[in-house]
Amino acid sequence: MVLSQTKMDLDFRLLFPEEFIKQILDEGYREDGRSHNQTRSTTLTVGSFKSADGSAVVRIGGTCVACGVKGELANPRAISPKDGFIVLNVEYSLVTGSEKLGAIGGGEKFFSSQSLTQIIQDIIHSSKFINLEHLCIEEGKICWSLNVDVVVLSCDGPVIDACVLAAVSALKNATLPSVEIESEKPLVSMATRNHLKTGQYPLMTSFAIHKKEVSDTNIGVLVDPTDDEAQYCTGIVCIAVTNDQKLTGLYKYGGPAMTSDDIQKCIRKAKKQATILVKLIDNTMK
Amino acid sequence: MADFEYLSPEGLRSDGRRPQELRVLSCNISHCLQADGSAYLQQGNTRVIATVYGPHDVSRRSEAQHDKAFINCQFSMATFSTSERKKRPTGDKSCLETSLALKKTFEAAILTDTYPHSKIDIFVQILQSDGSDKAVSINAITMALIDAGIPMKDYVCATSVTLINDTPIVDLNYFEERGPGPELIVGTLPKSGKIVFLQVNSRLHIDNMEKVLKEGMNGNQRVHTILDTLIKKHLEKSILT
Amino acid sequence: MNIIRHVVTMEVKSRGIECELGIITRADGSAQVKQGNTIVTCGVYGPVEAKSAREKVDKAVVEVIVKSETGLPGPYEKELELLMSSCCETMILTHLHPHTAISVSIQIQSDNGSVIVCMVHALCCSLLDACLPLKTTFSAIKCAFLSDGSMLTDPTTQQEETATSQLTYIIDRKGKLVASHATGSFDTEEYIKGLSVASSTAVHRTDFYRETISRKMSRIKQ
Repeated sequence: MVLSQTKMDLDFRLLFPEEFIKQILDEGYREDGRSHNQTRSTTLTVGSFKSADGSAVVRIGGTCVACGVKGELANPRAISPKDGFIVLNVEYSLVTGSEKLGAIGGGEKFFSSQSLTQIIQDIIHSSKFINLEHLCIEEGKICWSLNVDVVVLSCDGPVIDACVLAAVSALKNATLPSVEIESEKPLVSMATRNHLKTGQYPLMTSFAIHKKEVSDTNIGVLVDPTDDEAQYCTGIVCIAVTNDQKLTGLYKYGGPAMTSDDIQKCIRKAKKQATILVKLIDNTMK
Repeated sequence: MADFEYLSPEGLRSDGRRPQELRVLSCNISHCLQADGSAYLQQGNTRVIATVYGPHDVSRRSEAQHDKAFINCQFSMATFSTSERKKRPTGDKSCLETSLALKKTFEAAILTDTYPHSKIDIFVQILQSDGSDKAVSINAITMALIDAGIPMKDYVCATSVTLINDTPIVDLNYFEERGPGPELIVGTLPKSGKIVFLQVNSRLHIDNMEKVLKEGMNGNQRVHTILDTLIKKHLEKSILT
Repeated sequence: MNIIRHVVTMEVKSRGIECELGIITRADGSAQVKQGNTIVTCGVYGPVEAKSAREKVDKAVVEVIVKSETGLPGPYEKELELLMSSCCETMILTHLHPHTAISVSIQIQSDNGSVIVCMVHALCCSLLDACLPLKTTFSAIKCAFLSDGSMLTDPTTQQEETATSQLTYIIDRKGKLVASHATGSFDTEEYIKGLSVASSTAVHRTDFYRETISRKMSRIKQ
């Protein structure tokens, strides 16, 4: 149900955004007419950037994220001669109004690009999505270094969910040319390109947590919060689930304290959302 | 590469276009809701995203000008946009040069004296590069500025032109841009035909200048027609919904 | 100088906590916490007047800086900063100090496992030492699950390397979850089991804070 917005409603929204959002949340509504556990439509496009070895564009409501994977030949580290590299980097494009400009763009960003990089690198690593040994071409001599560059193009809501989906889809979409070693020198043949060997992959779902004013003990949970909702709800929960329904990351940042029942509710919802996203990836990759 | 045929005997280019033919141009206007104006423009395989924030208060006092708005323009390229991976999306010398050129261009086109003591931020990023990056960026910024409702003298339309076997070739792709011919990028205000941006790379004989420039201006007229129809279509759609 | 040494061991197997208050003399509140060989020092400055660009009209701005023992700050430190600042924002009653800034510096001196736990304890002790108004005290515990399904609490670096999942819980006085940082591969049951263990320790940690502060107070009286 979409709230009918009168002139007075709009004035109230403009002057007291925090009060406005809290009130309609208490009444069980959301600004864009969604129910509390309804996500916005997610679209995924893969392989649209031909200059990259693999790419994906993800849109979740007003959030848009692009990701490109480019392979480079590198020397493996002496400490792990059998492993290749995955170098992930998340960046807010200048187009979003830049992190440094602060309030000029879509307000202050909750996740800095560096913390997004760390979290996503952690969950991609711990989900055993890509075995680094498969990126090795010759032990101790040469291996692939995959540069996964995620660019946030516009943000309204769970940037982290979109980044994970984009990084995973771009890596699944990526093809690398086959390399042979001839007299100590790598020979790259562009004719044959192979997909990467991939395992279980992670999918992220974010929640905003708010305390219901009417009953002090109850905690309200919003799936897929917009930027405004996330800002006024104070608490953020991000849950990463693999495609075989195992958890690979659970992050909670502040907000009202939760009991184990509350957190289990979130986990159940995240698992349900993961199956939807798995279907989306499967349909797009077909 | 010396034998690479930029123009076939039948007079067609490597991608099948005629010499004066533009690539397919499509544009998605105001796709980004936080920005005051935004446009995603695709010209062939070159894809550009541009956003405009403002006019708003200046962020530093040194930026404030008492008689006109301060224009901040930042150009960047996604690390995966070129065939060789870029190390950084911003900050290298060529990005800085392009940023400055774009800033000067739009200072000439925007009615800056409408907003004294304020600032207009223009951000543009190349998502995929396939030639004519600067020209496509200019077209994308024009669309974003119109979407933001910032008053301008006219559209700013730009194309790149080269000369191969004495034939001017319009709207270059990557191969043609790297080819042996000179490259001329021209940005004009189509109604008055005034030039606001002009850049020539490598040697172009002065006798050929007029011919090449004329073809560029003709190209700009065609870009203008396309952009104008796109804007009108977008307006019609947004009024109806 | 009011330096307090105090060791508490608990029913849930964990290394003893050793805490010294006021070790940075120029900070408004500071603490050094040792858990085994993991040592973290934290200093709290403020509330002081905020720079006009950063200040908020309805609450205090909290800035957290985390520094590891070596090297320049990178993504890892930024992620920890995010976690710590979310704890501060929730726990400090920031609306009592509008237009001001509170700055927190956390220095990891040596990391031998469960570093987030140690950071949280150092943070809470130094906030108490700075006499900032808090919603409640808060504490943390880390659980690690091994490949055979057994659970370790308060793991060392060596144990962390062999674990399949590492779950850190930051809980309030009543044992409810304030913040969480969980990585690795685990299932819901494991996460909930860890949370119930964490909740059971909340009472002991509150006693520890009370004792630490009461010792500080008795020194002041003398």
